[in-house]
Amino acid sequence: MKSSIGEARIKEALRARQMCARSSAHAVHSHPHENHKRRDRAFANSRLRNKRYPEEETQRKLKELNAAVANISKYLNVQQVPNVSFLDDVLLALELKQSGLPEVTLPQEFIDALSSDDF
Amino acid sequence: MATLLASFAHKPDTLFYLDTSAVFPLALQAAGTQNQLELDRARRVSAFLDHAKRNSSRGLCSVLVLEEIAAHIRNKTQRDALTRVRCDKWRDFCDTDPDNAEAEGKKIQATVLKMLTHTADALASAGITVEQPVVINAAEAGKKLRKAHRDFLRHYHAIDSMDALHMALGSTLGCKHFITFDKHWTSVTEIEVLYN
Repeated sequence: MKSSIGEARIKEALRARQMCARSSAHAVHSHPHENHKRRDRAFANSRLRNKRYPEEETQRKLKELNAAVANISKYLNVQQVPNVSFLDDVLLALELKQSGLPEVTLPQEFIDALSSDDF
Repeated sequence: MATLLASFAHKPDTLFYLDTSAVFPLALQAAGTQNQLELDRARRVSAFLDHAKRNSSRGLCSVLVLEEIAAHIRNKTQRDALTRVRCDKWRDFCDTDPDNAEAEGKKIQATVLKMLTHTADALASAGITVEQPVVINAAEAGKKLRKAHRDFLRHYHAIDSMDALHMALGSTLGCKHFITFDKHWTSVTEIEVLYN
Protein backbone atom coordinates (compact mmCIF):
# COMPACT_ATOMS: atom_id res chain seq x y z
CA MET A 1 0.00 0.00 0.00
CA LYS A 2 1.30 3.44 -0.91
CA SER A 3 2.23 5.51 2.13
CA SER A 4 0.63 8.95 2.24
CA ILE A 5 0.01 11.91 4.50
CA GLY A 6 -3.52 10.62 5.14
CA GLU A 7 -2.23 7.28 6.37
CA ALA A 8 0.28 8.99 8.67
CA ARG A 9 -2.60 10.94 10.18
CA ILE A 10 -4.61 7.76 10.70
CA LYS A 11 -1.67 6.04 12.39
CA GLU A 12 -1.27 9.06 14.65
CA ALA A 13 -4.99 8.99 15.50
CA LEU A 14 -4.77 5.28 16.31
CA ARG A 15 -1.79 5.86 18.58
CA ALA A 16 -3.77 8.59 20.40
CA ARG A 17 -6.72 6.21 20.73
CA GLN A 18 -4.44 3.52 22.14
CA MET A 19 -3.16 5.95 24.76
CA CYS A 20 -6.75 6.88 25.69
CA ALA A 21 -7.61 3.20 26.06
CA ARG A 22 -4.64 2.72 28.38
CA SER A 23 -5.48 5.74 30.53
CA SER A 24 -9.16 4.77 30.84
CA ALA A 25 -8.16 1.25 31.88
CA HIS A 26 -5.84 2.83 34.45
CA ALA A 27 -8.70 5.04 35.72
CA VAL A 28 -10.88 1.98 36.23
CA HIS A 29 -8.10 0.27 38.20
CA SER A 30 -7.42 3.25 40.40
CA HIS A 31 -11.05 3.86 41.40
CA PRO A 32 -11.62 2.24 44.83
CA HIS A 33 -15.40 1.69 44.41
CA GLU A 34 -15.24 0.16 40.96
CA ASN A 35 -16.98 -3.07 40.29
CA HIS A 36 -14.47 -5.94 40.12
CA LYS A 37 -15.99 -7.58 37.08
CA ARG A 38 -15.97 -4.33 35.15
CA ARG A 39 -12.40 -3.69 36.24
CA ASP A 40 -11.26 -7.12 35.13
CA ARG A 41 -13.08 -6.82 31.82
CA ALA A 42 -11.58 -3.37 31.16
CA PHE A 43 -8.12 -4.67 32.01
CA ALA A 44 -8.55 -7.72 29.79
CA ASN A 45 -9.84 -5.53 26.95
CA SER A 46 -6.98 -3.08 27.29
CA ARG A 47 -4.50 -5.96 27.20
CA LEU A 48 -6.23 -7.35 24.14
CA ARG A 49 -6.16 -3.95 22.46
CA ASN A 50 -2.52 -3.43 23.32
CA LYS A 51 -1.72 -6.85 21.93
CA ARG A 52 -3.54 -6.10 18.67
CA TYR A 53 -2.09 -2.60 18.31
CA PRO A 54 -0.18 -1.15 16.63
CA GLU A 55 0.48 -3.10 13.46
CA GLU A 56 -2.41 -5.50 13.06
CA GLU A 57 -5.04 -3.00 14.14
CA THR A 58 -3.53 -0.20 12.06
CA GLN A 59 -3.51 -2.40 8.99
CA ARG A 60 -7.11 -3.41 9.63
CA LYS A 61 -8.23 0.22 10.04
CA LEU A 62 -6.38 1.34 6.93
CA LYS A 63 -7.91 -1.52 4.98
CA GLU A 64 -11.37 -0.50 6.15
CA LEU A 65 -10.70 3.16 5.38
CA ASN A 66 -9.40 2.37 1.92
CA ALA A 67 -12.40 0.13 1.30
CA ALA A 68 -14.72 2.98 2.33
CA VAL A 69 -12.97 5.50 0.10
CA ALA A 70 -12.76 3.01 -2.78
CA ASN A 71 -16.46 2.37 -2.36
CA ILE A 72 -17.25 6.07 -2.67
CA SER A 73 -14.76 6.45 -5.53
CA LYS A 74 -16.37 3.54 -7.36
CA TYR A 75 -19.78 5.04 -6.80
CA LEU A 76 -18.61 8.40 -8.09
CA ASN A 77 -16.73 6.74 -10.94
CA VAL A 78 -13.54 8.46 -9.80
CA GLN A 79 -10.68 7.08 -11.84
CA GLN A 80 -7.96 9.71 -11.58
CA VAL A 81 -7.30 9.82 -7.83
CA PRO A 82 -8.66 6.55 -6.48
CA ASN A 83 -7.43 6.63 -2.88
CA VAL A 84 -8.25 10.18 -1.89
CA SER A 85 -9.25 10.60 1.71
CA PHE A 86 -7.83 14.02 2.65
CA LEU A 87 -6.92 17.22 0.84
CA ASP A 88 -3.25 16.40 1.51
CA ASP A 89 -3.67 13.24 -0.51
CA VAL A 90 -5.19 15.20 -3.37
CA LEU A 91 -2.32 17.65 -3.33
CA LEU A 92 0.21 14.84 -3.13
CA ALA A 93 -1.43 13.15 -6.09
CA LEU A 94 -1.38 16.46 -7.95
CA GLU A 95 2.32 16.92 -7.29
CA LEU A 96 3.01 13.43 -8.60
CA LYS A 97 0.86 14.02 -11.65
CA GLN A 98 2.44 17.38 -12.38
CA SER A 99 5.82 15.91 -13.30
CA GLY A 100 6.37 16.12 -17.07
CA LEU A 101 3.55 18.58 -17.65
CA PRO A 102 4.12 22.00 -19.24
CA GLU A 103 3.91 25.13 -17.07
CA VAL A 104 0.71 26.92 -18.03
CA THR A 105 -0.70 30.35 -17.27
CA LEU A 106 -4.45 30.49 -17.42
CA PRO A 107 -5.50 33.21 -19.90
CA GLN A 108 -7.55 36.02 -18.31
CA GLU A 109 -10.44 35.56 -20.77
CA PHE A 110 -10.52 31.83 -19.92
CA ILE A 111 -10.83 32.56 -16.17
CA ASP A 112 -13.38 35.36 -16.70
CA ALA A 113 -15.59 33.04 -18.77
CA LEU A 114 -15.85 30.48 -15.94
CA SER A 115 -19.01 30.68 -13.84
CA SER A 116 -20.30 29.07 -10.68
CA ASP A 117 -23.70 28.85 -12.41
CA ASP A 118 -22.29 25.85 -14.31
CA PHE A 119 -22.54 23.73 -11.15
CA MET B 1 -35.94 25.09 4.58
CA ALA B 2 -34.19 27.87 2.68
CA THR B 3 -32.66 31.08 4.02
CA LEU B 4 -30.82 33.90 2.30
CA LEU B 5 -27.12 33.83 3.14
CA ALA B 6 -27.20 37.45 4.32
CA SER B 7 -30.14 36.98 6.70
CA PHE B 8 -28.94 33.79 8.41
CA ALA B 9 -28.81 34.06 12.20
CA HIS B 10 -25.53 32.42 13.22
CA LYS B 11 -25.51 29.89 16.04
CA PRO B 12 -22.36 28.55 17.70
CA ASP B 13 -20.66 25.29 16.65
CA THR B 14 -22.45 24.87 13.34
CA LEU B 15 -21.03 22.88 10.42
CA PHE B 16 -21.65 24.38 6.97
CA TYR B 17 -21.31 22.20 3.89
CA LEU B 18 -20.36 24.13 0.73
CA ASP B 19 -21.32 22.71 -2.65
CA THR B 20 -19.27 23.35 -5.79
CA SER B 21 -21.21 26.49 -6.74
CA ALA B 22 -20.24 28.01 -3.38
CA VAL B 23 -16.56 27.00 -3.55
CA PHE B 24 -15.99 27.88 -7.22
CA PRO B 25 -16.25 31.70 -6.79
CA LEU B 26 -13.49 31.48 -4.15
CA ALA B 27 -11.36 29.44 -6.58
CA LEU B 28 -11.98 31.95 -9.37
CA GLN B 29 -11.08 34.82 -7.04
CA ALA B 30 -7.80 33.03 -6.23
CA ALA B 31 -7.22 32.56 -9.98
CA GLY B 32 -7.64 36.33 -10.52
CA THR B 33 -11.04 36.53 -12.21
CA GLN B 34 -12.43 39.92 -13.22
CA ASN B 35 -15.97 38.51 -13.38
CA GLN B 36 -17.88 40.83 -11.01
CA LEU B 37 -20.66 38.34 -10.25
CA GLU B 38 -18.12 35.72 -9.14
CA LEU B 39 -16.12 38.27 -7.14
CA ASP B 40 -19.30 39.40 -5.41
CA ARG B 41 -20.23 35.78 -4.59
CA ALA B 42 -16.72 35.10 -3.28
CA ARG B 43 -16.94 38.16 -1.03
CA ARG B 44 -20.31 37.03 0.34
CA VAL B 45 -19.12 33.49 1.07
CA SER B 46 -15.91 34.78 2.70
CA ALA B 47 -17.85 37.26 4.86
CA PHE B 48 -20.28 34.53 5.88
CA LEU B 49 -17.48 32.14 6.84
CA ASP B 50 -15.66 34.86 8.78
CA HIS B 51 -18.87 35.45 10.74
CA ALA B 52 -19.23 31.69 11.26
CA LYS B 53 -15.67 31.40 12.57
CA ARG B 54 -16.37 34.06 15.18
CA ASN B 55 -19.20 31.78 16.39
CA SER B 56 -16.90 28.72 16.62
CA SER B 57 -18.52 27.34 13.45
CA ARG B 58 -16.74 26.18 10.31
CA GLY B 59 -17.19 25.31 6.64
CA LEU B 60 -16.39 22.03 4.96
CA CYS B 61 -16.82 20.37 1.59
CA SER B 62 -16.12 16.96 0.12
CA VAL B 63 -13.67 15.77 -2.52
CA LEU B 64 -16.65 15.78 -4.87
CA VAL B 65 -16.11 19.55 -5.23
CA LEU B 66 -12.58 18.99 -6.55
CA GLU B 67 -13.79 16.26 -8.89
CA GLU B 68 -16.53 18.49 -10.31
CA ILE B 69 -14.16 21.40 -10.86
CA ALA B 70 -11.57 19.10 -12.50
CA ALA B 71 -14.18 17.58 -14.81
CA HIS B 72 -15.60 21.00 -15.76
CA ILE B 73 -12.21 22.48 -16.63
CA ARG B 74 -11.16 19.32 -18.50
CA ASN B 75 -14.36 19.29 -20.60
CA LYS B 76 -14.15 22.99 -21.37
CA THR B 77 -10.48 22.98 -22.39
CA GLN B 78 -10.98 19.81 -24.42
CA ARG B 79 -13.92 21.39 -26.28
CA ASP B 80 -11.86 24.53 -26.96
CA ALA B 81 -8.97 22.40 -28.32
CA LEU B 82 -11.31 20.40 -30.58
CA THR B 83 -12.85 23.63 -31.93
CA ARG B 84 -9.35 24.95 -32.75
CA VAL B 85 -8.40 21.81 -34.71
CA ARG B 86 -11.91 21.41 -36.17
CA CYS B 87 -12.55 17.94 -34.86
CA ASP B 88 -15.77 16.59 -33.36
CA LYS B 89 -14.30 13.93 -31.10
CA TRP B 90 -11.09 13.60 -29.13
CA ARG B 91 -10.57 10.10 -30.51
CA ASP B 92 -10.68 11.47 -34.08
CA PHE B 93 -8.09 14.10 -33.11
CA CYS B 94 -5.82 11.37 -31.65
CA ASP B 95 -6.17 9.27 -34.81
CA THR B 96 -5.54 12.07 -37.29
CA ASP B 97 -2.82 14.00 -35.45
CA PRO B 98 -1.45 11.90 -32.54
CA ASP B 99 1.58 14.12 -31.73
CA ASN B 100 -0.48 17.30 -31.55
CA ALA B 101 -3.20 15.48 -29.59
CA GLU B 102 -0.66 14.30 -27.01
CA ALA B 103 0.75 17.82 -26.60
CA GLU B 104 -2.79 19.26 -26.25
CA GLY B 105 -3.65 16.51 -23.76
CA LYS B 106 -0.70 17.53 -21.56
CA LYS B 107 -1.74 21.19 -21.76
CA ILE B 108 -5.28 20.26 -20.73
CA GLN B 109 -4.01 18.23 -17.78
CA ALA B 110 -1.76 21.12 -16.71
CA THR B 111 -4.72 23.54 -16.93
CA VAL B 112 -6.87 21.25 -14.78
CA LEU B 113 -4.11 20.97 -12.18
CA LYS B 114 -3.54 24.73 -12.18
CA MET B 115 -7.23 25.35 -11.45
CA LEU B 116 -7.24 22.68 -8.73
CA THR B 117 -4.23 24.35 -7.15
CA HIS B 118 -6.12 27.68 -7.12
CA THR B 119 -9.06 25.82 -5.54
CA ALA B 120 -6.88 24.22 -2.86
CA ASP B 121 -5.34 27.65 -2.09
CA ALA B 122 -8.81 29.22 -1.84
CA LEU B 123 -10.07 26.44 0.45
CA ALA B 124 -7.05 26.79 2.74
CA SER B 125 -7.35 30.57 2.85
CA ALA B 126 -11.09 30.43 3.68
CA GLY B 127 -10.50 27.75 6.34
CA ILE B 128 -12.72 25.22 4.52
CA THR B 129 -11.70 21.61 5.08
CA VAL B 130 -12.13 18.83 2.53
CA GLU B 131 -13.59 15.80 4.27
CA GLN B 132 -14.81 12.32 3.50
CA PRO B 133 -17.01 10.13 5.64
CA VAL B 134 -14.65 7.71 7.41
CA VAL B 135 -16.60 4.66 8.45
CA ILE B 136 -15.94 1.31 10.07
CA ASN B 137 -18.42 -0.71 8.03
CA ALA B 138 -17.70 0.43 4.49
CA ALA B 139 -20.26 -1.72 2.70
CA GLU B 140 -23.05 -0.69 5.06
CA ALA B 141 -22.10 3.00 4.82
CA GLY B 142 -21.91 2.81 1.03
CA LYS B 143 -25.38 1.32 0.99
CA LYS B 144 -26.71 4.11 3.26
CA LEU B 145 -25.06 6.78 1.10
CA ARG B 146 -26.56 5.37 -2.08
CA LYS B 147 -29.98 5.12 -0.44
CA ALA B 148 -29.80 8.75 0.77
CA HIS B 149 -28.75 9.79 -2.75
CA ARG B 150 -31.64 7.94 -4.37
CA ASP B 151 -34.12 9.34 -1.82
CA PHE B 152 -33.08 12.94 -2.55
CA LEU B 153 -33.39 12.30 -6.30
CA ARG B 154 -36.74 10.58 -5.93
CA HIS B 155 -38.28 13.37 -3.85
CA TYR B 156 -36.90 16.38 -5.69
CA HIS B 157 -37.12 16.51 -9.46
CA ALA B 158 -35.47 19.94 -9.70
CA ILE B 159 -32.09 18.77 -8.37
CA ASP B 160 -29.59 16.78 -10.44
CA SER B 161 -27.59 13.71 -9.47
CA MET B 162 -24.47 15.60 -8.34
CA ASP B 163 -26.55 17.95 -6.16
CA ALA B 164 -28.21 14.95 -4.50
CA LEU B 165 -24.80 13.40 -3.90
CA HIS B 166 -23.57 16.61 -2.23
CA MET B 167 -26.61 16.52 0.04
CA ALA B 168 -26.12 12.84 0.87
CA LEU B 169 -22.37 13.30 1.55
CA GLY B 170 -22.91 16.46 3.59
CA SER B 171 -25.57 14.77 5.69
CA THR B 172 -23.24 11.79 6.25
CA LEU B 173 -20.59 14.25 7.44
CA GLY B 174 -23.04 15.60 10.03
CA CYS B 175 -24.01 18.85 8.27
CA LYS B 176 -27.52 20.27 8.41
CA HIS B 177 -26.66 23.60 6.78
CA PHE B 178 -25.69 23.74 3.09
CA ILE B 179 -24.34 26.81 1.29
CA THR B 180 -25.07 27.00 -2.44
CA PHE B 181 -25.78 29.46 -5.26
CA ASP B 182 -28.05 26.94 -6.96
CA LYS B 183 -31.64 28.06 -6.38
CA HIS B 184 -32.97 24.58 -7.25
CA TRP B 185 -31.79 23.49 -3.80
CA THR B 186 -34.36 25.73 -2.10
CA SER B 187 -37.09 23.14 -2.67
CA VAL B 188 -35.31 20.60 -0.42
CA THR B 189 -36.83 20.53 3.06
CA GLU B 190 -34.65 17.89 4.82
CA ILE B 191 -31.69 20.26 5.02
CA GLU B 192 -31.28 23.97 5.72
CA VAL B 193 -30.27 25.63 2.45
CA LEU B 194 -28.39 28.94 2.57
CA TYR B 195 -28.37 30.53 -0.88
CA ASN B 196 -27.93 33.68 -2.97
